[in-house]
Amino acid sequence: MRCTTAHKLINPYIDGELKHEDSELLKSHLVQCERCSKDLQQLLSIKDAFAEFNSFTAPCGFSTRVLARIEAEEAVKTAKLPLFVRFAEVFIFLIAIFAGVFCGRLISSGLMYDKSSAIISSLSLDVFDPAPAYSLGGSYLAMMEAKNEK
Amino acid sequence: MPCSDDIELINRFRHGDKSVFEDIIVRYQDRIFNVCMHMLGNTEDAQDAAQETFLKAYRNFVDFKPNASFYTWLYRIAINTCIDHKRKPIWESIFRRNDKDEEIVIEAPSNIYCPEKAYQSKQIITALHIALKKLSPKLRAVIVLREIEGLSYEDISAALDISIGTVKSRISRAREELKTMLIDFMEQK
Repeated sequence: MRCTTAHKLINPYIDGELKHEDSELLKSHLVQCERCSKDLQQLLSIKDAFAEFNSFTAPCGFSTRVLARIEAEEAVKTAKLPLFVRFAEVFIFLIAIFAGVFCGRLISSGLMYDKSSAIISSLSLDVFDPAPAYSLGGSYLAMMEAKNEK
Repeated sequence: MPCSDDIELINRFRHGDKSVFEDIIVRYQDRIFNVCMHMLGNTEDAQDAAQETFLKAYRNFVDFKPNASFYTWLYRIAINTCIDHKRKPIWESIFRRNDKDEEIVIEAPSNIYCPEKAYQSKQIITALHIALKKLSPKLRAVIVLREIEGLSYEDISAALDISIGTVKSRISRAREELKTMLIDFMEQK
C-alpha cells in the first residue's frame, strides 16, 4: 500500500469506519512506514484530547424559556386577527369616501340623474300656495273676495 | 429512523398535541446546547442558538420526514443556526508577548472551558479549543459532530446534507489543520 492511499484511510480507521480488509492492509503498512505511523499517532493524540473536552449541559430553565418564546409567538399569531379587522375597517371607510367623491363628480358632471332640481322646483314660490283652498286660510280668503265683489 | 420513543412523540405532535414538544426539548436540549457551545464558544451565543434551534424545529415540524432521524434533523438545524450566528465569540489568543517581545503562553480566558482534571497537556486542550474555533464553520461542524457528539459518518452526512465522501474529506482536512496548528503551538513551547 502506498502512503497516499494509507493517508486517505487513516481517518476512517481511527473513527472505526473502515472495512476489515482495508484495516488489515493499513495496519500492515503502518508497521513498515514510520511516517504514516507518526501521522496516526498525532491524529490519535488529537482524538484523545477531544475525548477530554467538557460536555456541556443546557442551563437551568432552558426548556421553560424556549416554551415561553413559543407561547409568545403563538400569541402574536392570534393577535394578528383583530389587527386585520382594523385594517379592514379602515379599508372599507376609505372605499366609502372614494365612492362618495366619485358619485359627487358624476352628479356635478350631469352624468347621473339629478333629482335635486325636481326637489328645488317643488319648493319654488311659484308652486308654493300659502293658503290652499281646502285650508282655513284659503276659506277665509275666498269669503273676503266674495264680499269684496258684492 | 427515529427511536420508538421519538416516533411516539413525533406522532402525537403531528396530531396536534403540542404539549409533547416540551418532552422533545428536555430530551435533546443538552446535546443541542453542547453542539452550539463547541461551535460558538461562549454560553450566551450558545443559549441563543440552541433556543433558536428548537424554535425553528417547532415552526418547521411539517418539513420533518417521518422516515428520517429526528436527532440528525435537529443537529442540522443547530449547525445551520450556529453558522448563521452573527456574533463573534470572545476568544483571545493564548499567545502574548512579554517585555522582551517573546511569545509566551498564557492561561485561557475564564469564559473558555478548561478541564478540571490536572493534565500534563492542559494547555494542549486549551490550544485545541482555540484551534477548533479557527477552523472554518464547515470543517468545525464535522469535527464537532464526530469528535464531540460521536456521530457516525452516515449520521453526519444526514445531519449536514452532504455525501459521506464529503464527510470523510472534511474530517481529513479539519484534522490536518488542527494538527498543523497544534504543532505550531508545541514548537512555540
